[in-house]
Amino acid sequence: MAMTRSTFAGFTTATLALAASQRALDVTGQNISNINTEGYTRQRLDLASISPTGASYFQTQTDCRVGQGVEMTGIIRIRDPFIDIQYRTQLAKVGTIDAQDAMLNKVGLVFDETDKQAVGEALNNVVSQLQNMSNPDNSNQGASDTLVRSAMEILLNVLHENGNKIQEVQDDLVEEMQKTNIPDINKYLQNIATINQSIKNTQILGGGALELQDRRDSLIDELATYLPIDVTYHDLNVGGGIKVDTLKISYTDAAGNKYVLVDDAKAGQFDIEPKYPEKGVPVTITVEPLEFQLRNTDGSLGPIVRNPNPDPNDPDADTNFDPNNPTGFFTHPHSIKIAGKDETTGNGFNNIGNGVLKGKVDAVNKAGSFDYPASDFKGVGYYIGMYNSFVEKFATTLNKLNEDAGGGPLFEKIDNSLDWSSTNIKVSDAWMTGGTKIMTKFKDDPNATVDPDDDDKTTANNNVLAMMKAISSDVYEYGYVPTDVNGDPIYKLDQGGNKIQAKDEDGNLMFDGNRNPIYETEWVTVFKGNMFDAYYSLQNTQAIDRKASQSVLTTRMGVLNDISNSKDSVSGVWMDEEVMNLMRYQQSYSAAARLMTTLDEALETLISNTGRVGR
Amino acid sequence: MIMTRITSNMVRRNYHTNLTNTLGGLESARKQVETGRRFAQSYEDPNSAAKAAILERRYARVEDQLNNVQNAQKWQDIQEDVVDDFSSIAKEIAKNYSVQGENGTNKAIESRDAFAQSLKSMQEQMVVILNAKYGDTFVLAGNEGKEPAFALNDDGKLTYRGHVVSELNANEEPGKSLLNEHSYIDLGFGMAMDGGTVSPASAFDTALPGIKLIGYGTTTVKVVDDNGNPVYEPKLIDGKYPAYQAPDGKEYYQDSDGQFVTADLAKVPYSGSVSDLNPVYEEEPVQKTDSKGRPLFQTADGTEVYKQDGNYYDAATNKLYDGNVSGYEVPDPADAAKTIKLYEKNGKYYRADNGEEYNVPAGVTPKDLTPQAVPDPSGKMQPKQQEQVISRNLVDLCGEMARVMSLPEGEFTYEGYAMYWDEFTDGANKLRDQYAALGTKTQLLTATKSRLENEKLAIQTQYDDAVGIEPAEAIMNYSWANYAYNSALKVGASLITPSLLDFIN
Repeated sequence: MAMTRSTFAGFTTATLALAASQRALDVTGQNISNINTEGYTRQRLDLASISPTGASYFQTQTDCRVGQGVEMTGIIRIRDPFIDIQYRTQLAKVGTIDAQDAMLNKVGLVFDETDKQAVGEALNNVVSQLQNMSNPDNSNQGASDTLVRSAMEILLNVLHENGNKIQEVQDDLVEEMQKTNIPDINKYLQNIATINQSIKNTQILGGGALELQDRRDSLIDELATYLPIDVTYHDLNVGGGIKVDTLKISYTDAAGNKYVLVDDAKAGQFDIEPKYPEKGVPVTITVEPLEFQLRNTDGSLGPIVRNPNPDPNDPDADTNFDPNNPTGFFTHPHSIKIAGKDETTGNGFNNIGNGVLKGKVDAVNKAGSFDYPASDFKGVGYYIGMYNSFVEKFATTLNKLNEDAGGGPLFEKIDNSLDWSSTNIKVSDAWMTGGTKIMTKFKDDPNATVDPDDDDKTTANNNVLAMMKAISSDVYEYGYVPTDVNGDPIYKLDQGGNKIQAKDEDGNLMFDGNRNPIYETEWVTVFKGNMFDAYYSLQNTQAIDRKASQSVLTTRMGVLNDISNSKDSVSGVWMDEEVMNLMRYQQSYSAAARLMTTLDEALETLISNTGRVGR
Repeated sequence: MIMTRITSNMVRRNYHTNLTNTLGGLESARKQVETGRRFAQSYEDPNSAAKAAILERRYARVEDQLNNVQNAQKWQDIQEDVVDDFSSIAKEIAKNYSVQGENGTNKAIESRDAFAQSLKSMQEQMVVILNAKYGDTFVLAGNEGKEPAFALNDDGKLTYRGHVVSELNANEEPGKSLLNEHSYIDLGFGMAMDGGTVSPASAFDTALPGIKLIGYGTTTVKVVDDNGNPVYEPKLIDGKYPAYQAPDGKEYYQDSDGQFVTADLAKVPYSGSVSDLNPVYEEEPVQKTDSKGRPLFQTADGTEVYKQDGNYYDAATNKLYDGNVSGYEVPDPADAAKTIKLYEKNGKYYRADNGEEYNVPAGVTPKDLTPQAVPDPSGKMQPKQQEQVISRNLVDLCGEMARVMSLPEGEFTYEGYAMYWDEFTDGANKLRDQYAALGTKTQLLTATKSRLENEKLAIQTQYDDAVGIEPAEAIMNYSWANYAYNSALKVGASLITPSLLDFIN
């Protein structure tokens, strides 16, 4: 016995089919329209067939019930969350090395003399003029002294210029972080929180908020270039059987401390404080998270603490927070230092982990061997330190040679309260005005026959030779006296832990002007070689480091590209596919319309032509 | 594995990345062609960049050294000119004035005076030549080249930087330092210095203290008469009266009254014939000789040595004597009036009296002693020949010759003149040795110049190897990069337009 069916049942099926094809065409249209939209995730109409429902009076042993058409269950974004995680992790890694590479590029613009003439040439010129002066007919002659002095002035000009440029590299990095990067990060956090709210509102009203989610994902990707972040999604039951997505972004620093940066519609923020303290740690970066969980000294994670600051009226805020936390990272209860000055060594520390922010902070806060103890990255500070050490050695060595020979200093500091540096050096006023000159004769020459006070007659040139040799071949140690957290020098200690009083060349104990003992300080040698080698070590270090950073960057970009391909492969719009879909849905639409026509014709037979046999 | 969907954006992004890379390659290949360098920034090839920096520096030094060589050559020319001028004066004196002097014995004082005048003016000319200048610097003035070094003092003696040249001694200050002055320049011999002292083989010494050229100090000559017989030193009574010996063996002298009296307090007048009195001479021990008749000297440590070809040999072994022949003397710290005799071996001083090592106190320079003649063990004595100390420098000698020439008749002797003339000829010969030494230095400069020029070329080649790129290679790289870029563009043109859309109606 055949089943019974509603006369017009087929029309509903046909209507649903028409509607489904129509909607599918709409989705295809949306995909095609957004083929060039940045961050767009391809969408798909999810369909389900409607099964026959209910019991039938006419149930027979042979069930021939037919489904009742198609149901549109929703439009979804096609996305692989695992690829998103990979992508964002890689973005942070690329960000770190990209920032470091950018810094090295700028350092190269200062110290790379491969295709330009700067300090190296000026230094060569100084030696050439001293060579010229060493000739017996030029020794102790006013003209050759002026030539040497002019060569020195040119050298000091380029030294100053490079000194200013390398300082600019540092200052620009700080300014970029201050004016662009940190505000950008805070803007992303804030925007993500705002979009979270919009998505929630849309979803409560039953909308999918697909495009909003795309925008949010783009923002999260942007954020991920700055910091290594984790994104988690939670279902939130808003009542009435409606569930909405909420999102939480957390960040784990290099020390393993966890900070929640975005939680649903709330966002934490970052803060930057530029400082130029004595040890050259220029920036302090703090985070004001929504909640945090710090790692104890034994490695275990401490309790989760809600930070009351971003929203003091938050009833969930943990107000029992102890500012004297043993980790000692707290500058005030609500913000936590993740990069800045280490309170025990005075060095710069950087716990950021990965990303552009880490790369930039490393570049300004770390000075490699010029940190005490040495840090793991040669930032701008390394180059400034090495450069100044070279300048100091140059100035003090030549001054000593000239003073030992009975002359005045050839160089002076511009600002006497500061150390010698590439920007704090000038040709001495005495030399400029004729008050002193290059003393051509070594004073403690055992073969001295010239009255040492009568230097006008001499044509001896051994002090000139000594100066030439001092610049071009004598080997010196370049480095620095390490300082503690307060900027005071670190002293050498004997076995009993006492400071050791310094002795002069003759073995006498040394005292300062107030008869206070002078103690021996520690010394860190960063480079050993002649003055040319010392200056060119800047170029060589930059070249080797940048070659490495370029190679890492290329590798990481390659991986990122692969991940982008995977991401595109899943979520991107494929024109051919969409055109094919157009054809497919057009066909299915036509077929549904055909179904409608067929049903109509069938009913026509039933209604108009039934019982009119023979007419 | 799910089939990879190749999406339009993926294709476009990858295309864009690759096109950027290809364009980057084209850009760097273009730079290679334009600059002829393999790299524009040192990070592209840190090793070669570091090498290039060192080569640039070496190139600059070689150029400096070439300048130094050229300057030293000119400087050397002036020194050679001085020696040349000096030689011709010396030659003229040697040629003309020996004969003139010889004949002079028979000549009247007037004509000798004329020669004396010529010699005098030649002496002045010598001083002018010695004060030759290069640029503003006096070339023979040692380390005080800003002022003329040579002058004649009021006594007609030559002075060098205020010191009488004949009083200078190579072993004592100030002569020791004056003769040891150097003025080194860097010619790429790897200049090494300790304090203010340059190690001699590591640089080129341009200094030539003029006293080295013309001689300094004095020499002692034995006096002979015009027949070539030795003139002995008369024994003097009371330091002024020559002693005579009578046939009876007693010694007499001629007192202020012209009477011959005995040399003792009795002052007994001489009664014999004056023609029987013979002059008495100072005596000295006969010098010990070895079996071959070579005179022996005693060194500070007591070894007997003989001199041959300028070297001392141990008389006992006939081997070259390796110690210090003359020995040294230092003031005795215990008694200022006494001295301690020392000899030196392997840089250490030993006492001559007991052979113990002696630490010379700081600030004390041991004084050089001349070797002592060993007396013949037979104790035989011989009359002491008269000696005269004469200056060794050519300028003083010339002055002395002029002085002798103008001596009044009777006082002028041929031998008196010949003494100076011989020494002068000797000095003039030594000048020729200096000339030869200068020639060697000139050759060294010439050789150094060509070495430096070769080195310059070699550095250039090494530099090209380190940073340069062969034009052919550069152009090939460029063409290849260009080809790759064009191909990429073509692929792009075919990649962007077509899709399924283009094939359906």
